[in-house]
Amino acid sequence: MSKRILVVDDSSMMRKMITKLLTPPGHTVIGEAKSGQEAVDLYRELHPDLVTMDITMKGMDGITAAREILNFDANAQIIFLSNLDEDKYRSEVEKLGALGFVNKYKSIEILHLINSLEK
Amino acid sequence: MRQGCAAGQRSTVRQSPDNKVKPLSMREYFSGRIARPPAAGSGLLALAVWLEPAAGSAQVGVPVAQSSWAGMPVLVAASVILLFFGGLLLRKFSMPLNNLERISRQMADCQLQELVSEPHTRCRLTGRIAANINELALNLQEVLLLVWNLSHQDLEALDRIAARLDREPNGNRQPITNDLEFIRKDLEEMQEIVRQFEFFNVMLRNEKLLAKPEPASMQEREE
Repeated sequence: MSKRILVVDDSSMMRKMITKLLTPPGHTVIGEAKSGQEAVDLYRELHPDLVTMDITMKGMDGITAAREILNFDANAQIIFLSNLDEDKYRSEVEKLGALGFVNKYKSIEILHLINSLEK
Repeated sequence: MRQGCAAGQRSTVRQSPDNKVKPLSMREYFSGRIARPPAAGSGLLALAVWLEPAAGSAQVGVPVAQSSWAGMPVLVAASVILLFFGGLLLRKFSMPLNNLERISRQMADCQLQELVSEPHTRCRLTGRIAANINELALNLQEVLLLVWNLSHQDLEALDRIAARLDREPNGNRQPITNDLEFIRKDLEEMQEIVRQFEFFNVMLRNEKLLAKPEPASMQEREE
């Protein structure tokens, strides 16, 4: 099922790559944010089905942004895409209420996780 | 009486009451009783002081040099104000550029941990340049972290292949072992390049990529 997705990453190259990964299977990237604050603002405005969230960003980081989004909408679907060590951060983001943590370069795993989520 | 002369030249003669031109004595010349034109390059302030009596404001019986000094405080105050605001303006323009130069130098030295502070208004040229430099640095960091993760993953795969080869009974394993060693060295060199960098908000500790602790967000996370 195609989803309306908000891509959050401080690197323009990474936002482009994620968009390129998600578009062919039929998903629509409805917004891009490069900081946590932008992500929170865009979530409130666009109400996406899913948010792909980076962790380290300038200003508000991804974990704080996810917490704010989940406070605003407890049903928000957020997955974390990061280069950081998976073992260390997976449990932290899942405890927060996010749906998963995948390394950014594992494109197949990202698509599998997204496709496994129910709308 | 003012002596006519070309700008920047000091007059050394005066007209006497019997209409004869006589040279000035040293005392007259330096006493200030006869207004002198400004020396070349002595500036706007001196010119203004010198010109003041010519505007008809000089009082009868008051020496020219004395009436010139009357406008001095105003001109000094105006100059100070001009210098102050000029300095402020100069500082306003030079500070972001100095910051830009310093941090771009750091980035060139593999220090990506500090980004350029972007001025609030994005329409300014320096602000846009700062934003572009930051974006360049973040993209470079992303590529390096990707290289790190991929090479790390590939090295682990090589270890598994090598272990499997060791378990194989017989046969000539040397060619494949050599190839594996070649790939390993390439990957390790790629990792060595990544190790040369300091990253923004990310650090390498015990071969793992971790977020740098930020006091505010760490406190929030701990709560």
